[in-house]
Amino acid sequence: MKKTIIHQIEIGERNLKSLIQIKLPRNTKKVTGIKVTANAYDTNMIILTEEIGWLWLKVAEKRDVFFAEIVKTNLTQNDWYSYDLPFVKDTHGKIGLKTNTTYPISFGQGRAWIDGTKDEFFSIEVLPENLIIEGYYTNTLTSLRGGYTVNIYLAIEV
Amino acid sequence: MSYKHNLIKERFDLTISAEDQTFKDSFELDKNAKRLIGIALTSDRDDLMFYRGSQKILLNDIELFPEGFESKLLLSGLNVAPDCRMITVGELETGNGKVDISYTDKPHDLARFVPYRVTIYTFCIVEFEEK
Repeated sequence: MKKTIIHQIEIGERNLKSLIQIKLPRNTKKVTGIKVTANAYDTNMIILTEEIGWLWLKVAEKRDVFFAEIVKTNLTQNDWYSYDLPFVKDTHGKIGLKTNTTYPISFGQGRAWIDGTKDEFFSIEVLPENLIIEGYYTNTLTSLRGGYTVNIYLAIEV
Repeated sequence: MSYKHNLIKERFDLTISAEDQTFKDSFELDKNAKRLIGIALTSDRDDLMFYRGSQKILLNDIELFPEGFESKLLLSGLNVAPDCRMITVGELETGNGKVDISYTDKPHDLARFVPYRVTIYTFCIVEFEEK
């Protein structure tokens, strides 16, 4: 049977390194998928699309890191924004999706230039011998507004 | 409810009337729905659901999505083909057809709260008895 467990890390300070330990259920056979999400935004209320932190995960008592990721914030659904003006420059001069909400979508103009696919877990096969996964998350954001949450989703087979 | 191509599609609504709270409700699937194959989540305010929502969904005490599973991972936008918007859950026996949803709203600066609706669609297979 497949199951998903979620571990949340609350980030409240700049350059913070958080050590984490995830306890898996006792009947876990293996970890089959991982997904990491975060909801950070900077002091100008701009949704960040660049990296916001690093995550490292390893099976306890083994030296090998089995998962490492540069964590980025999830973009909102692209089709919330006007099709006729898909690209704008933000305050950092970066070109990206329009961040001002023009919700709901303007159906009448422009064209659908985005093709969406299902959000899926990163496929992996880890055999945790002692049911503990440990690691750390480093917050690399310097313009942190308030705090944010990093969610680690582990798809497991029990 | 519609009943076409051996599939039963049902819709259940949950009204989120206050912020930073958990709303629970229980629904019953159609008696002819034998196997649950997928679900879909929508809202009248997709942006609020995206930033603020997380939920737990159970089918007869079988946990489909655990507590804290973010709603943004279950939402589909217009850029996803209609045929791909359902989240597949395999083929689960519906049993007595009880679906429990526990939706949690959590404040977020990018989406100010207004009351909104969360809708869960279920897709079930009807199995006809062979004679």
